[in-house]
Amino acid sequence: MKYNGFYKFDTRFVKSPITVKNDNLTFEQANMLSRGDYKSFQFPINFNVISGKKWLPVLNPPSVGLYILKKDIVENLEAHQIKGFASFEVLIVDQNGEVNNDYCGFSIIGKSGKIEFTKSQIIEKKTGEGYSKYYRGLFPNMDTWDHSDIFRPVDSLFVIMSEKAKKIFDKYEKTNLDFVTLNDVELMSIIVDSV
Amino acid sequence: MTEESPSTDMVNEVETDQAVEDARAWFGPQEEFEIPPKNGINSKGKTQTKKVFWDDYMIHKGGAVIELKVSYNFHTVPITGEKTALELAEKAEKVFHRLIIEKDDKGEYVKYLLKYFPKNDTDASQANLETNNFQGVDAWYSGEIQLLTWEEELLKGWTIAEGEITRAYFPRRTSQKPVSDVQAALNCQPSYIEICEVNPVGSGSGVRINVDLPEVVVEPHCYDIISYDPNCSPDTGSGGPGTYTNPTGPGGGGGGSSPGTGGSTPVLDDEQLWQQYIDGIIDPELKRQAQLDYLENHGGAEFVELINELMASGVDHYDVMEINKLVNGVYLEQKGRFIMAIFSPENVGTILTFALTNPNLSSITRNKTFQLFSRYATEGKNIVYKSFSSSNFRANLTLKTGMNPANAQEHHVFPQTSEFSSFFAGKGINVHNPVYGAWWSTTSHQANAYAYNMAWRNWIALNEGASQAQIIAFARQLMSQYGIAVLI
Repeated sequence: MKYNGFYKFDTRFVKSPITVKNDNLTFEQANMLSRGDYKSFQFPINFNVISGKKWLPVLNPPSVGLYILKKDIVENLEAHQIKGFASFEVLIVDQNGEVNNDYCGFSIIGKSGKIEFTKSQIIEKKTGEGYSKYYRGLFPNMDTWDHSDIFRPVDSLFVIMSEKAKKIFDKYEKTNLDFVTLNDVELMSIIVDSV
Repeated sequence: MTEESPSTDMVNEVETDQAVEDARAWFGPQEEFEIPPKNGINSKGKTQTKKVFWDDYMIHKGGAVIELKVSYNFHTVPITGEKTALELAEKAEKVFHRLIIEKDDKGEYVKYLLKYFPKNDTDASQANLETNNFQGVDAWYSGEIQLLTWEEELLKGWTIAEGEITRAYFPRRTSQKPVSDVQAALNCQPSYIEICEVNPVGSGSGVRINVDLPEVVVEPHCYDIISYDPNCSPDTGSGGPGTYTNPTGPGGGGGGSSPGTGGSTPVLDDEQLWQQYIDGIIDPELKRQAQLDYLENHGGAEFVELINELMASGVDHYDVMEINKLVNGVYLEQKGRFIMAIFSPENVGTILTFALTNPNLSSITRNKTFQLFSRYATEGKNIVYKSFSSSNFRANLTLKTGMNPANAQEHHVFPQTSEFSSFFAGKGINVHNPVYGAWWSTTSHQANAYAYNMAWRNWIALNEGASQAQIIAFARQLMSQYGIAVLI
């Protein structure tokens, strides 16, 4: 199966990791950065710590799909010739005004075709007090996949990683990281149907 | 009590026949009459009629008074302690009526109606003209007797216990209660007439049911008589009259119907009777309407308005069932109170259960209810919100919705997680605006918050170019998945 060995990469909503924010960064600008479109930016991009105490390898995202990683991870990814990402320089100022230079911005430049939800299985799951329909399985069109280890399906901010890329992240603390095989990704039908 | 003998032996047959013929000539040939709804009652759309029987009569005062039997196709009976529809139906079977045509000294005719409502245990022979008539009441008769105009307006009434008058009353004409719209809509309404009690007359002596109006009494004791057509009971045809129940009979176990016991009134308190009537309704539609009518008349007009607005908003069958439950809950909570506090803390619990977390309610109706409650609860208040911030969110949501439920958390419909802030802000949405707030029961909120935020992340990841309208539409959909009402 062509989707075996691919994972949807995500972070968990947990409070302990440091959360950073740049109030001047719009959602659109954050998306440009997360896709590696750097032409209208001056680096480093400044972020301030707004909450959290723990400097985890992957910080809580400042915007949907925009990740700040430890430079060490990026170096490791590069060392293992993982394809499909880029990084940009960030400057993080903590709540005491001290600068942390250990992190960088993480951009996903690998691409695949659109997600084909028709390939997903429709299931029912408990939501709150009742039951809701879910799409099980996240299957992008791989005909136009650029064979990157880290990529995004067209028209989405989801991040998909190969087994090889995942193994790099596995070496780090994964408190707030979530890798779900594409077969096991479940999305509420109202999310998919409104696309 | 002295029973007076019929006076037919006082006149000869020729004079008798002539007296009847004269009266009939004056009265006219028509024998059956439709009663206009404003004077009579409607029974589920059926017209009330009465029929005069000219071959069943009695003559009094040497032919000056003709008494005829009259029957109605259906008729109400005054509720005087009956607790079931069966009892009312039995009472209705024993009712009998008379037409009195009287010629005065000037030779002018007048006509009245006499209506007899014997108690259930009264013998059927009481309906005989020879037993009870214009001239006297039988010693075995117990129940009500009413004197009415031909147009069905009460003139006087008497409560009789074994031939003795224990109470006499007359209508207070200046303040008769109008039949409410809801009652009229039921086409099955009890009839109300406010009467004032006067001292029993003729007690202990020979009783004559005379047509003289009572003397004016100072500060008479006034209250309502409620009459009810047992054939129009909402349970008729669906289980029989025996299903009419009144678990809380007046006077503690029905003692209120005992006549002549030193000042105790045999007629139930108006309030109790109204509640008894409502409690006995089986049909859920009729019951809701009757409960709303009650609430409207007890200071709950805003609530009634709210429910009516909700009902007009296009609710489905299942929603109606839930709305009925809500109305019943509020009715039970508020009944007996004349100054209602629909939006009091005790009612907020009911409202919360119904509008905010009721899984059986469609999301459209749930939202509509929440919006209506919030609007009514805050109407007319000069609300000054605190600045829209996370720390002020609960206070502002309380102001916005008029409630501050103890077991619920203030929920940001648009998550305040910093990850989403630039997305929502970019679409012109201030997530701390209380209009984007909801009350979510604490346990459920805590259990579902993670999945809720994850749903937003996934949706945004697939809809980065969404418009504000699309975002709001998704918010409604997502909240409905969790059964939570929103104001948007």
